[in-house]
Amino acid sequence: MASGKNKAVVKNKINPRDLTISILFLAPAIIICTVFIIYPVADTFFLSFRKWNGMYGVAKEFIGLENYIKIFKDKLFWNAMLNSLYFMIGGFVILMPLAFGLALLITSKIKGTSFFKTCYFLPVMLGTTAVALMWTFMLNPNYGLVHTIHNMTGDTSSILDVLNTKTLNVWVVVLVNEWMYAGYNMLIFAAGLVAIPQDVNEAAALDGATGWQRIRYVTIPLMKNSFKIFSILCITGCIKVFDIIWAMTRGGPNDVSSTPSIMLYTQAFSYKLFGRSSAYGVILLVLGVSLSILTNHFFREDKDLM
Amino acid sequence: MKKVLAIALSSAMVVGLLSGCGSSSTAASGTDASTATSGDAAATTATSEAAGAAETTQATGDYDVDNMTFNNVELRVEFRYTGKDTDGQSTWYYNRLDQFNKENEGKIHVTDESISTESDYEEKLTTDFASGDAPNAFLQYGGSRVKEYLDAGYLLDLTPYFNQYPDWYDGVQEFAWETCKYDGYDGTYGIPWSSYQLNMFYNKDLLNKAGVDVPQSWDDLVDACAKLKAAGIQPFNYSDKDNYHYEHLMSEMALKAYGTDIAGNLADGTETYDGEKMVKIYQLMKDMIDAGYWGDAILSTDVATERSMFESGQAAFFIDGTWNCGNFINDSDTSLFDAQTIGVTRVPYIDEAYQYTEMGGGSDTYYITTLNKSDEEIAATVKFIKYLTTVDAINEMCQSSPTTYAEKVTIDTGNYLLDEVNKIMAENQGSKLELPNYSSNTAAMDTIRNSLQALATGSAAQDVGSDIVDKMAAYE
Repeated sequence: MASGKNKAVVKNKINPRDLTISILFLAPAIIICTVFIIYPVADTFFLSFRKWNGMYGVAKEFIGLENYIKIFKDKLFWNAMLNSLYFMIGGFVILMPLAFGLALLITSKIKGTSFFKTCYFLPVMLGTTAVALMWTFMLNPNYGLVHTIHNMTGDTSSILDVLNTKTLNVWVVVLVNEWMYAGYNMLIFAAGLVAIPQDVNEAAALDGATGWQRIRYVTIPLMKNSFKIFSILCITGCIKVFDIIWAMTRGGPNDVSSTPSIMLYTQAFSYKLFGRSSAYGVILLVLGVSLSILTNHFFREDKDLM
Repeated sequence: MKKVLAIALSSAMVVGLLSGCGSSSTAASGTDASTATSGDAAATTATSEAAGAAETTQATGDYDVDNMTFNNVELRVEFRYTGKDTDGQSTWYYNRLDQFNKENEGKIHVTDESISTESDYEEKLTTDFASGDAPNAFLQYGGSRVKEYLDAGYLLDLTPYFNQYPDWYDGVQEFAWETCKYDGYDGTYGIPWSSYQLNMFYNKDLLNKAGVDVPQSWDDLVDACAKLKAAGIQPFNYSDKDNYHYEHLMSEMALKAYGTDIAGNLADGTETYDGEKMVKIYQLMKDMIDAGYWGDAILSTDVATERSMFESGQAAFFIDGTWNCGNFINDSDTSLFDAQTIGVTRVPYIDEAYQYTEMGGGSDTYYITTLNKSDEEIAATVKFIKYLTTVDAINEMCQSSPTTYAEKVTIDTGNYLLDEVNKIMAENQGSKLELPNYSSNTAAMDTIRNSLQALATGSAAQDVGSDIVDKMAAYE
């Protein structure tokens, strides 16, 4: 008797028509998610424990954790991680203040903010490859802008080949990266800035807060979400940075400017180590997700930003 | 209704999943090798099934592709031509391709998917072979670069076709076949169409100005560089942005120091890339860099820029492949070539006993794939490749682009540098391809090329050797 009652309750709760409609609405998203996210991630995870030379029909031999062990023992992996860290440092030390400063500028009451907005955003519109090539040509010691300026000074000594000097080349790319993305991140901060009610700032001004004090005690605390978005994008972007460094140095010379994503690419397409390349993918995924969770934790609601 | 919906949704899910791995499912028809599930068994199955495709053709005993009947066969080829009207070879190729498609209308149609940039080309080829959607024919340079395709059984043995058309085989110079023949395999797995060796081009005027004779030995070269430098003339702008450049020279120098045995010794481990012999070679290269004889901005200069600097009199020497005989007449500044100021000689020897030993041989080679290809497709591909590589065809190509070819070219192009190069090559007493080509480690080529770049960033010769060996071990 009791079970019959429960059945009736269940039947009343789940209407078949509603269920069908729900499934139909969810199906496209589930299918797309499965085909383009879940399946590739699962396949990458599966392949990361195997050895495969990328040859169709050749078996993927199970080798346990060997790919991961070899990666962690490879000094090139740690060098690549260090290069990603340089990007992260550059992101927080250079890009964040720069983008925030530009955002303050374009949301201020000075004249010509539309012009500034366009100028700052222009590098993003140019695209990574165009920006990378432009800077590569400018820095070329044979014929670039640096070469021309150097010649104008009458100095006959040779010019430092910055894109082929260890560590310096990574920092040069970091700077180009910040130059390019300052405009993009400016928009993130600008969106946060315009969302702050004007009367809060006015109240602070009436209380005698100076411009800097208003930024420090009103603007920044109220822009927590903008900083959170920037931080997550910056961290995940730096871990998987590929395009700009590939276009400017191709990870060279001799792999010194490689990043984990470049290693992932070369392991598969240069060295035909598709299993190890997949292990790189899994490491990047785990690292990206972990750091995103940590960042979220850092920016949780009950925590003060400054 | 519920069942119908459930089935429909399940079908949608399955179709979605299959579309995600579409190439695999398509490939499951044809001569699919994916049925094998474990280790060597899969490779063996792949080999035997791919070989089966070729055997079917062989079983018919008919290799006379010129007289076969074809019906709307679609072929896709991946080469490295740069596009119509870009250079002599490409122009010739695309005209020839159009001509073939016209002559075989309704029977065979070939679509060219050339990619000229080497790294992009390699990436596409790797992806195609991984997905089972390999082109019908592709271009490579032999050795370790195609060994895995061969081991997997995806390359066609052309021997029976050469037996059918002996003139086709005989049209190729013997030394050029090395890109198509492998230890442990009896067949001939491709057909080369170009050949090369490293030569040293020099500017006669600049050498005269500094009172320098054409160097014969490496010591002569070092002395010549010192004299040129003292006279205010830059000896080289020896670049390595295109990182094949130093690896080519390393191979050449090792052959000129230790003879052709060094290739086999490095391949079987008797010698190593961090051993005394090879470190000596890196040291000789590094000495030239440190003395400033190879110029500045080594890693920011590509070979085309280096050549143009040589052509404009900014350097006395230029070491590169024989293909430059054609480049010198096609570049923007041909004044030195026109005035016959450019001379050519062998790369200086390190040990006189190996003065006539060279790095070179067959270069660009066409390979035909059997992976998921029908017998008709394979036969049609052979017909097309034959159409491109007969002596008559290559004679035409040589007219458009005078350089050294694998085939026995019979025409006189009137290119004085090419005539000199041909004389030099005729006197060779042994040649080998690039040394990494002989390694069983498919990562050898890239690791060596990358590691040698470190010479230009100040690394010690011994460190470069250790770096090569460590990386090769890591990527084995």
